[in-house]
Order: sequence, then structure tokens, then C-alpha cells
Amino acid sequence: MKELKEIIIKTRRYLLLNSKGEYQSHFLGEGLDFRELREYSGSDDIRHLNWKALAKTSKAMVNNFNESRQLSTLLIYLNSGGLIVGKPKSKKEVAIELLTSLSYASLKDGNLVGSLFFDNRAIAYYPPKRQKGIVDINYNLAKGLNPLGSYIDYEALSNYLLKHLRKKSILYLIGDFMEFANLSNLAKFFELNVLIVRDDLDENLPTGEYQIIDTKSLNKKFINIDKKSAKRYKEALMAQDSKMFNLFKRDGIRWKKIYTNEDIIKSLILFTKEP
Amino acid sequence: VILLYPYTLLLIPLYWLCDRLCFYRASKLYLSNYDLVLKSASNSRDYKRFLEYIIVISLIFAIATPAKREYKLLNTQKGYSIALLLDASYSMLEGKRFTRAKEALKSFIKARNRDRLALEVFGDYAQVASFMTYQKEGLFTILDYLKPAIVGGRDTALNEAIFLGAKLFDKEEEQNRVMILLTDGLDTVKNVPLDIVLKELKSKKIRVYTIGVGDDYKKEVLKKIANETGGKFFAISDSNSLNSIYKSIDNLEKAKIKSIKVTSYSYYYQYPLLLATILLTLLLILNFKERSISIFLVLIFSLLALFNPPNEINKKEEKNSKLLVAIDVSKSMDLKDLYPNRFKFAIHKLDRLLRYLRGLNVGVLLFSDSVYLLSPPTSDYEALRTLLKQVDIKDIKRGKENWSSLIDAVSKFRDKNSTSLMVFSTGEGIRDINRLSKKLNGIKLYIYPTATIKGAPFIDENENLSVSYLVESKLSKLALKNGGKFFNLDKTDSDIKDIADTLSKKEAIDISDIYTDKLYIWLLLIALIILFYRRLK
Repeated sequence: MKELKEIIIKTRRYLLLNSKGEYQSHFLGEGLDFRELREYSGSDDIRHLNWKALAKTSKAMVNNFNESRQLSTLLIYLNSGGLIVGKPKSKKEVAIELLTSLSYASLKDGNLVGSLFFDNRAIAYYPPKRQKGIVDINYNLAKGLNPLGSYIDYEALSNYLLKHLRKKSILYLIGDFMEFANLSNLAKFFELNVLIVRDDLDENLPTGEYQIIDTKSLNKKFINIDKKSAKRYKEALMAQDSKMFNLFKRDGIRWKKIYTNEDIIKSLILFTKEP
Repeated sequence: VILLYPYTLLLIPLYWLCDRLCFYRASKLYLSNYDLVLKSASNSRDYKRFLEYIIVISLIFAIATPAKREYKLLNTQKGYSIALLLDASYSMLEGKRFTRAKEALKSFIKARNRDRLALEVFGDYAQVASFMTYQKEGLFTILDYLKPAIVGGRDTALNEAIFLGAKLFDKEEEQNRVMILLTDGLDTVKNVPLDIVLKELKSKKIRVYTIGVGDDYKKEVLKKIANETGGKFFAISDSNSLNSIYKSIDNLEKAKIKSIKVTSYSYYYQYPLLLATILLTLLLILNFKERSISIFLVLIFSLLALFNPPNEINKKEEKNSKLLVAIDVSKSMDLKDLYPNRFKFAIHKLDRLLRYLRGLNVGVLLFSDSVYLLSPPTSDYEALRTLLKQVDIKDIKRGKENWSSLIDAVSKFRDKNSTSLMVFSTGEGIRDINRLSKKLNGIKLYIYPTATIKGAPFIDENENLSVSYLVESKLSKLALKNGGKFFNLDKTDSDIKDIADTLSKKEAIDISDIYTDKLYIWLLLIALIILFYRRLK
């Protein structure tokens, strides 16, 4: 509980320091913020017809507004085995910090906040609502999860979300994304923000003889890591990452790599305030 | 090919276990993307581990010592004992019989290189020239010395010779006793009846081959001797065919040679070791950046083991060091301040000394103006002693002792085994101690004095009366300077044992050689322990 308080205090501080404005959603919606004038299509609400424009151009035009109020935010905690890695702070701790901080910040912005805990299936799902308890719930739930032995099924995740979340929402995915993740399907329907939690060990292998253990399958093996293989590994990982990021870019997904040794909440708040 | 230490192979599964279990000491590493790590790390580790495995296995095989067991047919031990009886009466001078017989004997001796041979001559009486011995060189030397009438030449002590010859077999194996008798006359001494001779021969199971030369011998007697003992009689009219007769005897006896099996091993441990060393070098190069000290150490130990092959103990004989004994034969050696005279005193001392010496090849030189080789280095002391008894220095040109020519001659015998020189001398001929030491150059010098300090008077070449005495100071200085010892004169024989001990102790082979026999195994074990330790870290 002490940690939770600490996280919240930190979040508040950074929110205060960086209060430039509200979150800019890319969604069209019921907001007050005028965005554009567009030709009427059958699916539009006739209440938004711009009569003046209709008179001038003799074409049915519709007013479009930015969605500004009551954004629904869903925080997705991806409980993969890799989260236990990390020194001195594990990736799990960082992910919890991110989740808690985000929950608090979103709530503070007056959004509807929900959360989903997922590995290869849904562990727990709280649909976006105006609920104050969500910060505590998220914190405690994430804390209680043991990531060792679990892996993420991204396809199952998109299927689950498409089935259960009808409302247009902003999705925050918190995970280590050590494997290639294709989120194109989700990106079509939701606004995606990906927070990639990484530890130095994930990218730079130590050299020497080790018994390596797979955090997902718990397989074990003795290997000798030399400088060459460490280098080769890093190159392979970077290639995989850049391939994934290119795909994110194409799909309009925002992402941020957060390392365990950083000032996490600061990085997070800065990320959320980015245009 | 078998393994001398097959149980060592159990180390291979032990190493494998160690590799599996001891490795748990390696720190655990949880990885978020194991597959990617495996993909990147796989090959580099595996071939080095593979190399190390091969190295360990080949080292273990080297320790297990693959060797080929060979059954050698050895008949040195149980070969023939052959006594060669040679008539040395005057009549043998006829038609160069004696010289031809000597030549024939020499080639016979050369052919019987696995047998023990003895030589006996007879004339007025019978005399053993050499007891049973393997050393052919001694026999040749003695043969060269033999001449007709060396033991009196008017009579022929044939029966006595055979009787005495039979005694030569006393210490020999019961099987394969052969006597070859060459004579050109009949028994004229008649001190031993033929019946008794035959009885003696039969009881000792000696086969006698008799060769009659010329026409004076009694054919029936020789035939009887040969037939009753299971030998054969040969008659030749001219001495030219002697060679062929000895050859036919050689052939006759060859067929019956009984040989025994002796196991010996030829080692092949070097081959796996060589493989290991090559792979170690390779591994060291591959791990060059890591500067792996352990692999370097293993390589060093393997190389040491490679260059320390097992020493064969039976090479001991060759390892004997040499002792050359030089006896002064200058004229002053005839002086009688020592009993019976200086020279005979020296000979007597040497004869006694030879009883106690061990592990040395002893050669004998005579020196005055120039140097005479009496006997090349041999370990057959018995032959040497026989030789010493018959030494005759009447024909030798004898002037003053010349030390530098002696040392020059001795230097020719120097070889990789240590050589030492023992000189019987008065020391009057020594001029420059430093120069002599320089010439000796590592040869240890022992000196036994052959004169009293008081000396003895003699008439020198200028017809002046002078005294020859012992120059003790120079002799002892020279001996000490060359790592040897100057022995004090002792007219009794009580000092012989001490002298023999001094010579033998210092010159005998190093016994530790025998125990370092399998040093390579220990070296390789150390190397292996290091390799095991590498698994433990």
C-alpha cells in the first residue's frame, strides 16, 4: 500500500508539472471541439447536419467533432513470463507501476477506465466505467499475478477485445513485447498505445557459462555465451523490434520503450502528453 | 592391442556426469526470449565443448595406455652353453692349422650370438681361457692372444682337457650343453682315464662334437667320445675345411634351440596424447582472447608427458657407465718396492677389484710411451680377469709414462654415459696438471699409486743411478681436480672393498630411473584434474 501511495503521489506530481492540456484523442465523437465538415453519408446522425453548408453548396454536409469527453480507456496488462526478469527492479514491478499510474491519470482526466489482465486467455476484465476503485484493483491484481510460465497470445487478445469491447476506446498495452506482436487487427478499431517494458538484460546478454531458463516454458539448458553470440543475439532482437515498430507505424500505433532503470512515471506522463 | 589400465576409462562417464551435475554451479539466467538466445548462441559453445570432450577422452585413453603385447622368443637365458676346446700343441703350427682354427672359431662364435660360450686350450696341460660368457668381445680378444704352446706344446692333455671342460658346465642349464673339441693328436699325458671322462660327460649330459685334424689322432677315441655322448665326429685332413665343419655343427645345434616366451609391450599412448595436444593447441588458439591458463597448463603437462615415454628397465645394461683402467707399464714398473713388482701388484689389485665392482663396463689399457688397449669396456669381469692373468708385457715397447697420450686415448671412449678413468701409476710422468685436466674434460679420474714414497733405485738410460718414487702431491691434486679420488697405497687387500664402493656408487646407474618409469601417467593425471576442475567452476 505504501508503494501504491508512492506511485500515486509521483503521478500527481508529474501530471501537475506537465498539465499542458487534455488528452487529444484521434476519435471523432460527441465532443464540442469542431474538427471538419464532411459530406453526409447514410450512417451519420442527421442532428449533425450543417444547414448553412447545405444551403450554400446544395450538398448535405455534416459537422464532425473530436471526441473529447468521457473517453473510454482500457488498460491491458500483458502478463508474460518475461516480466520476472529485471534488476534491480523487475519488469513486473515496472509494469505494475505503469498500470497504476495510468489508471490514476486516466481517472483524473475524467475518463472511463477499465482494465484487462491477459496472457493466453483473459485473467480478469473490468470494462471501462467511471469507477474510483479501479486503481486499487489494478494494483492488487497485477501484484498477485505470477508471470512465470505464461505467454501472450496476441490473436486471442484481439478476438477477446473485439468481442467484448464495442465502444471505441483508447487502449494501453503494457508488456515486454519480447516476441513479435502483430496488432494490426486491433488498430483498426481502437486507438492503441503500447508501453514496452524492457530490462537491460533483455537486450545485452552477459557472457559466460549459464544455465538458461525459459520464463515461458521453463525449459532449461546449459550454454556458454560468448561475446559473439551476445552480439548476434542483440542484432537479432533489434531487427525483430524494428520490424515490429515499422508495423506499428503503419497501423498508427504509438509506442514507447521504457527501461527498468528509468524514471518510469515521468516517461509515462510525458508519453501520454505527447501530441 | 590391449589397454594396460582399462579401469581408467571409467573416468569418461565420470567426466560426463561432472559436466552434467557440477555445472549446476553455473548461475541461472532467466530469459524472456530463450529461443532467440539459443538461436544466437548455439554453435560457438558446442564445438568448443566437443573439442574439450575429445581432449579429455583422448587423455584418458592415453592414461589407460594402449599397448601391444608382444611375445618375444628369447633364448638368451636358456640358450646353449658351448665349451670350445682347442688344441694348442706345437703340432697345430703345421699348415697354419692353429690360425685357421682360430678364424673358424671366431666365425662360429659370431654365429652363436645367443649362447654362452667358454674357451679352453690344452697342450701339456689344460687351461681355461674364458669361462662361460655372453660377451663375445672378450672371447675375441682372448683368441687373439692365443698361440700354440701357450700352455706347453709337447704333449696333448686331451682327456684332462675334456674333464676340465666338463667342469665349465657346472653352473649352466642342464639342457643344451655342448662341447666342441678340436685336436690333432691323442692323449699323451694319460693322467685321466677315458672311462672316467666319458662318465663325467654322460652324467653332465654334455654332447661332444669332436674334430680331428691331420692324421695323428686316434679316430676310434674321438668317435667313441662323440657317439657315446650323442655328438658327432668329423675328420678333416686339411684345416681349410674347418670353417665348414663348425658351420655344420652350428646348423646341427640350431634346430634344437628351445626358446621361451617373453612378454613385452610396445606402447601406443603417444597417439591419443598427440591428438590431445594438437586439439589443445587448437583450443588455446580459439580461446586466445580469454587467455585460458588452465588449458595452457594442460597443454604443458601433456607435452611433458609426450616427451617422457616409459623407460624400459631392460635397457639397464646399456646404461652402464664406463670405467677405464689404465695401468702404467713404464720401465719403472718393474721395480720391486711393491711385491712381487709394481706391475704385478697393480694387476693383482685390479683383479681383486673386479670381484667387487658392479654395474660398470670395465676396459683395460696399458700405457707408457704409447697406449695399448688390452680390453674394450665389458661387463664380463670373469673374462677380464682371465685376460689379466695372461697379460704379457714383454713385447711391449716400454719407455716413460706419457699421461697426455693416455688421456687422448681415453677421450675416444667418452660417450653419453659417464666415463671415468682409474690409473695405476707412480705419477712421475705428470708435467702440467692444468693441461691434463683440460684434456680430461669431465672424465672422472681415480688414481691408485704403484710406488712407495720411499721409492726404489734403478739405473736410467744414461747409466746413472736414480730413484723412482711416488709423486703423491701431483697425483692427488690431479685426481681431486677431476672429481675423482686419490687412493692411499695399501699393501694388503683390505682397501679393495672401499675402492669398489667408491667407483660403483658414483658410477652405477641411477636407480630412480627405474621408478620414473611411468611418469607420463602422473603428468597426464594432473592435466586431467585441471580439465575436471574446469567443469567445476
